[in-house]
Amino acid sequence: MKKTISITIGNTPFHLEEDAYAALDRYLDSVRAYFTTDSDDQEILKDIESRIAERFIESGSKTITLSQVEEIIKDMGTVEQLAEANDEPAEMDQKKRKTVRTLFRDPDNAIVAGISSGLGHYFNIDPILFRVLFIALTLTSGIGIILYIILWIVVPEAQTASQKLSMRGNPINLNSMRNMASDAIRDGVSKARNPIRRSVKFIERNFLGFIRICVGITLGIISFGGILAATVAAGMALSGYPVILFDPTVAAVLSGPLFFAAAITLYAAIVAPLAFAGLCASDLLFKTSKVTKANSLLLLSVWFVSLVAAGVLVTSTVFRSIEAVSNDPRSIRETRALEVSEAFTKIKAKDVHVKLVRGDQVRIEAEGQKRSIENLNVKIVEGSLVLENKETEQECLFCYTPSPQVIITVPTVSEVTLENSSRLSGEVSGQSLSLALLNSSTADLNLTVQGLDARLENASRASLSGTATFSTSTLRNGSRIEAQMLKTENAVVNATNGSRAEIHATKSLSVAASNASRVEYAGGAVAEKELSSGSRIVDLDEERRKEEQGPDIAPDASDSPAN
Amino acid sequence: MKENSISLAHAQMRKGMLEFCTMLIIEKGEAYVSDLLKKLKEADLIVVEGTLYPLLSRLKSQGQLDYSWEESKAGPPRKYYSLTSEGRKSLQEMKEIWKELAQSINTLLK
Repeated sequence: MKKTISITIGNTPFHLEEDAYAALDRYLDSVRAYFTTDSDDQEILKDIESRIAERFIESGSKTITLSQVEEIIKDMGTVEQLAEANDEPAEMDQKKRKTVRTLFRDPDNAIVAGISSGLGHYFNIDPILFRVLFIALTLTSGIGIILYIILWIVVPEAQTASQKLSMRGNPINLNSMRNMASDAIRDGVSKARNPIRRSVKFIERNFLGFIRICVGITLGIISFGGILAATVAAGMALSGYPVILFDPTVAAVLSGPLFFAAAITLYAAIVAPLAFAGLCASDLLFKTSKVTKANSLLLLSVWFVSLVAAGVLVTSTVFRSIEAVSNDPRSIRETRALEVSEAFTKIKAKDVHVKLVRGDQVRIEAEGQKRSIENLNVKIVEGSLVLENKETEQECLFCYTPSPQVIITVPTVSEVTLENSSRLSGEVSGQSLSLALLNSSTADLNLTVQGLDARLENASRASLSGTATFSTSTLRNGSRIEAQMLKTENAVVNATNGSRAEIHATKSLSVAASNASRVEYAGGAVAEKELSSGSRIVDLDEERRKEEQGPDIAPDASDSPAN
Repeated sequence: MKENSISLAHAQMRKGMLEFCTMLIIEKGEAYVSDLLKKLKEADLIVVEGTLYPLLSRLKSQGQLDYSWEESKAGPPRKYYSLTSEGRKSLQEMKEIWKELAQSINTLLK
């Protein structure tokens, strides 16, 4: 009984005896190799295949035998006969056709997966060179093995006779095919016994497909997502989004032809490698062969050219933007005196840097870039000086106007409220000061007051020094007060939600801390504490004492030559 | 040597005639490859079938031939070839050339 193989030819299924199949496969391979110069070759091949199918059907036999196939080949004509009929001797013809070497893994001379010997064929170099290179790269940096695995996944194995021939760069014709076949039979048996090859084959059968799909999907997602994101970004950049996003001066630069060129080249520079990843993904997932030399070269040259162009254009755009901003008359720094009609004892600042200076004559001065000062809104509301940076009402997403600094010379203030990342520095002296820092504002103050009432919220920070008879500090939501340098007699601290306080109190201290807050104190006051939920209170004086004692205890425990 | 040159001459003549004769057969009515091959073989104009396919493909891309697909009762659908108007025109010219050629050859043969 002969083994039969089922094939589909001309869209019709047939059963062929094994040797008949081998003969037909070789024949079609050679025909395929012969008809590769015309553009209509695919059609010719299909015509020939349908004719063969027709002949099979006409024969009426269930299983096609070798003699039937040979008969059909005789009628159809071998590649040599076709070439002869075309007035070109077969050998000449083979020389005319450039025999293109293709990179395949070589299963016949493989030690592991046949990559080195495949590369050897491809570059026509002894494969031992690649083996040494892979081993050296693996031992030195581990890159070798990664590279090897990637090639293992990406490069297909030469399985058919014509693949093996094009791997070696041999002409594909019937003679060379026949030689291949007899070679394979001669040394096919010995190779399969190698245990490394056996496990490699096992891995290829069971895992290579899986890894191929995983890598393919990953590359596909990177490629698709990246191209999508880049396209959306490019679309936004080219459709005038900079006007909404950036300062008018920068937006003016970001709408000229140079910017468009920069955006397009940058887009190409980003998309070209992503497209390559996409081709790889397609090859891995759908077994297409899109990563050809031509495609790779095309994408590589697009990438290189656009990268160079984008580098030049983007740099020049950035420089032009910087220049535009610094040449903007509104960027010139100046100092301007601000007039207020009424007296005030309170200050409210929103996104403004305030510097307090003690002086008998009230004076208010704004300092900074012209546009910052122009954005500054100054008014008196119910006895309090209100300073606002209008910029907080956003006109564009990345508009950046540095907060202006306002220097206030005033005999005394009783209340300061800072909002929206405002900053406060300077000196305050007087009866009492009520200090409120909201929304990540910071204060750095030197105080000489009777009473201090500090309220810090939402990641605000205060660094205080000087003296205060009594102080009340209320801290919430990750705020922090550093007042070790502020000598107080009586202090009350109320800290919640991860806030921190450092206090110096000489007489009394009352602490209430909750939710992972921490209070450190020094000065010798007796602390009254109320702690909850992972909060801590630390007596720095005691810590220091312990630390000083520490070295005395240590020698006792370990080595004590004296005792 | 002598035989070889005769067979070469024969092959050349066949080759020269193949295109003309193929078009003549198609002119008589739509034909598909098997018909063509049968008639060409009967006239001993073709040795290996494989040479016909590139010829048909070339004539098609030159716009001399056109084909339509037709289902067959058994096997794959068949391409039925027909001449385009351009094909008819060039066939007419070829016929004229053939007549002149045959005439002069016949004179030589006498």
